[in-house]
Amino acid sequence: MEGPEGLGRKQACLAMLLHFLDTYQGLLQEEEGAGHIIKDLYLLIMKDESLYQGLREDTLRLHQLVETVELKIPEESQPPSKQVKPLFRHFRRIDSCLQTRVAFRGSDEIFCRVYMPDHSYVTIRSRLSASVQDILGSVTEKLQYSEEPAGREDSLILVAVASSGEKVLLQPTEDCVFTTLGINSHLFACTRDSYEALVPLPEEIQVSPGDTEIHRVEPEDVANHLTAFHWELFRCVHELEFVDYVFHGERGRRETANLELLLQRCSEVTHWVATEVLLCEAPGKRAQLLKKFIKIAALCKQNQDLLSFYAVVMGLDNAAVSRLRLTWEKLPGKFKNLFRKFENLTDPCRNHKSYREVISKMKPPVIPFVPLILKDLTFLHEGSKTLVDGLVNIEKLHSVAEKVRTIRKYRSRPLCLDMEASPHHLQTKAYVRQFQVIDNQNLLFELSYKLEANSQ
Amino acid sequence: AAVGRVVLLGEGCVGKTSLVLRYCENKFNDKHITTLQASFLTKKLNIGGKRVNLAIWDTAGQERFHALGPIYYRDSNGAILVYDITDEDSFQKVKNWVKELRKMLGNEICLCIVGNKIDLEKERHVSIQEAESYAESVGAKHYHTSAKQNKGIEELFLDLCKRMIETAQVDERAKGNGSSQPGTARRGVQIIDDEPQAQTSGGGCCSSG
Repeated sequence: MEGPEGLGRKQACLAMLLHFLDTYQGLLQEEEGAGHIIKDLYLLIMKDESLYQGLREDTLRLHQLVETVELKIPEESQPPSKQVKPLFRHFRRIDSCLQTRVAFRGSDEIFCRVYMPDHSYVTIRSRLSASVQDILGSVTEKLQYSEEPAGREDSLILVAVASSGEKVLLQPTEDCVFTTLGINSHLFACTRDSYEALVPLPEEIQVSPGDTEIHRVEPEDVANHLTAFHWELFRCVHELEFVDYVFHGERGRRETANLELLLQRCSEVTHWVATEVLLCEAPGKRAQLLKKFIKIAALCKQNQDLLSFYAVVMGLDNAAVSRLRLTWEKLPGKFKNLFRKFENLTDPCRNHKSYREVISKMKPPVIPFVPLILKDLTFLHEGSKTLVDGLVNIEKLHSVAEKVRTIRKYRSRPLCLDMEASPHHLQTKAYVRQFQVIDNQNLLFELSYKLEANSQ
Repeated sequence: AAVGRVVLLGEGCVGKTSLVLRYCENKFNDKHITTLQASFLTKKLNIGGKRVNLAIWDTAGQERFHALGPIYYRDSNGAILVYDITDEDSFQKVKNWVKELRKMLGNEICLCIVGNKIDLEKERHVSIQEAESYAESVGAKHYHTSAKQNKGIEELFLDLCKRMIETAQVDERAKGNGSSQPGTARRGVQIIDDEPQAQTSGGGCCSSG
């Protein structure tokens, strides 16, 4: 029974396990159950090793992998030192925004502000994956410290309030809510009866005449910093996050924090473009700004950073910006044509045919327009069943895997940008990494009508 | 043939993709579709002797990118705004889209508001009266569908298609009067051949009802 055939099978199992560990790596640290299974398997395999010389090489690799995954011996292993990370937007610090991005894990601790109806706030420290219930627990604790009357915490609810005033009541069992907040959304804790009266925080941005940062920076610098930052963020997204995002729907999402942050950043860039154009009151300067953004889009495309390219073009296509006919008319023909070309590239016609043609010709490193990957995956997932007559639809899973492999291909070579460390270098870098934006479309429209009342 | 472009908008999980897949179903087998096939979500219709190629743009998986909306709707002649009858928030999202579309495209775009998942009637959270009177107030038509049970979907697309053709004819007449606006030349059901060549025989024809 235990002939060479048995060896072959065991090698196949081992190969499968190695592949699994290789793909998941650090993500396994988040799952206690996975750790136990792998440890059991590991022990079983070690027993077999003495029987089969042929397994030696593989078990050695397994040993190394298990070590890197840090699941070797739970009793002895130290919990990896956890740093408290400031979260993307909702808690900013200038020094941290310049550091290279590392991937977030659900067990990471972060700081976050939770607001009260009167706009006072408490800062809580929480796991990124914390449930709404846990967050409310921390808030309650904080409030008691500040001598709030007891009893009111029973009925606290957690609400996400967007800058437009839109409210979403978060259910106690929801988790990982931090990364799903909109750009200028904030968490509010209140009692049920004050829900209706919640108002968003005042806009942080003020219309300021005169030169803002965008007028001072060179398009090349901005484009390069955009690409560099988005490459960092893109690199942080684990392949599995894409699958998780699509397969587990909005409620059951876990471990997609890095993808969520990348998506949020994409919206941020889009709103940044619209905000900067609409805050510029002088018509001539505003046309200059349009020119600058078209240049930035062109440079991002040249950098093979299609995410930034798309985001900038979408910003210029924002309804509040595209309606500024008088401003667009001031643009030289050359730029008008260039922008028309860009619009064609983003045209969804024939399922984004032009975009797909362009990206298929690019050699890595490439930053793809990530939302389109999610669209393709969603279509694959919703369009075909995972189980057919009780059997796994392998064909579907193959298609999903193939799509994910394209992501691997895009990242298969490191990004090298020629960037000078000029005196303004750090300033530009800091500017690009944390834009102040208006994400309230109504306010953007208001600004737009103020600039050109009767356009269109 | 005339080309009509339709965009599907709405919150995640309301069943946008299921609707289109149902409608174009005969092109797909249950087991497997590739992303390439997904690029050709089209349907050929014959309405009163007029051939119409319907190109349908699904936005599923991209709901969180409100900013993406304009690239989809800027050249559309029709929009299908889908909500889930068991989810009030999703109806609110539909209202937001209506506001934006009317603001940007005026009356040039035919709007359909669709309450999907009527197979879950017992869990309904959006009242029929409210939805219908809202649709009327914004010049949209309201439909009830169930992608699961294949209810109401043919009518929805057929109706929309007819309305799109009517709008195009009104536009043409207006142009004949010389009252067209120069800035809006990109709109209207266009007689162009930029859509995919004939797909597999599955497309099928709907008889005009």
